[in-house]
Amino acid sequence: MRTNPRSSNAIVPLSLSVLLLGALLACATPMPQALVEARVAVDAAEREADVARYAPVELDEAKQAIQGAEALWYEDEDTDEAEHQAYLVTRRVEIARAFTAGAKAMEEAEAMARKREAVLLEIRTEEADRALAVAEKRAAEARLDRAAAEQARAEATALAEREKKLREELAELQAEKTERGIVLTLGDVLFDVDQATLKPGATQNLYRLVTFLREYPERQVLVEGHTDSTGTEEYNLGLSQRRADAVVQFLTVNGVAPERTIARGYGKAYPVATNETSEGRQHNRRVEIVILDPGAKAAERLRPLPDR
Amino acid sequence: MESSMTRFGLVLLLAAGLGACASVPPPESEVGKADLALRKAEQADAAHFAPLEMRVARTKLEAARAAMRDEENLEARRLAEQAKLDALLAEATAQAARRREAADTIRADIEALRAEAKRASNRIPGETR
Repeated sequence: MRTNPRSSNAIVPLSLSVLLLGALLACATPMPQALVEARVAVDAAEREADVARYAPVELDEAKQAIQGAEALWYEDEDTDEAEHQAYLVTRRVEIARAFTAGAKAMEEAEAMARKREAVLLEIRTEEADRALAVAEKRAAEARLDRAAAEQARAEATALAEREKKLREELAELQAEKTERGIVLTLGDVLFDVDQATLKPGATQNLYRLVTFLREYPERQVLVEGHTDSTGTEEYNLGLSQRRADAVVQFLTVNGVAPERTIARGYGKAYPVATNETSEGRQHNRRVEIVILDPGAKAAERLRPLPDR
Repeated sequence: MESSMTRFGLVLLLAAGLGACASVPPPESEVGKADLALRKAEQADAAHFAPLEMRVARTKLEAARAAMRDEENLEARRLAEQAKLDALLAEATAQAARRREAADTIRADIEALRAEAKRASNRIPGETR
């Protein structure tokens, strides 16, 4: 194998440069561990989204610091300075992390403050609603009280008016209030002599009585026939009974329920005047209509019949 | 000729040696910056929230001043630079802690408000407090 001077010439410088490079690499001082770790710390922080988001300036400072430190190392290979720079870089990474924590805490504090406002508003609204409900309840109670008072007043007024009306009606009936009830006296002149038929003149007063009884359906009625002392007892009892019956019949025909009325003849037993004079005897000949108080039963209020 | 060359080389070496010393000026600026950072951290109450970092920063700043007095300017610069970042870290840590406390306080506030509101709504309406 012959050597080619041309190719041999070309190979020498190449192998020389390879040798030189190898020597350089072998001689290069390894990078201090602190600086390697500082680079790892910066890269780790850079990969964290929170750090990049909340502390971008501080992260950038850390990146610049590590780049500067590495460049300085390649330039000077000063181990002491490299370790010092590594310390600074590590601190910058820690500062970036502290800033991140601070910014996140502030964001949280702001969110909390907004939430507190919302809660306060909610509480105030609830309190207002409760107060409103209480006020409305009280107003409703007050309205009820007023309504009750008004009703009581109205009832009292109605009662007074009814009393007044009753008095007026009684006056119109020419009746009088007694302890037995309201007594309306139909005089002898309203009947024909010895007859039990009502004269037409009697009916006007009796119509008023019918009206009155219709208006006060809770009242029952005693109809009592009375005579003077002339004539036999038998006759007087019969006549007084017939006259009382005639009045009751009139009432019944005009719509007063028969169960509300009792007719009874007493003869001469209950005179209201002397039988010695003709005027007195005229007073004694009469029909008394007793309108009982509400709730009183006619059957229990009958006057006893005279002894035979 | 040869002796003059040797003298010249000696002068050059001396100059280089002196230059090496003279090329590191007193780190007045770095010490000033570290001092400022430390004051800021103190104002942020870092002594309370980040006591360790603060102590480290203070110690290093003192050491930097001492080194500068001894004209060990390289060491003084490094110490001052480290003290500054120690102080910055202390300040940032303190700030984060304070904000964390604020958030927790408001959270506790909300809890208290909610509890109070619940008690209030459980009261019979219209009853006086």
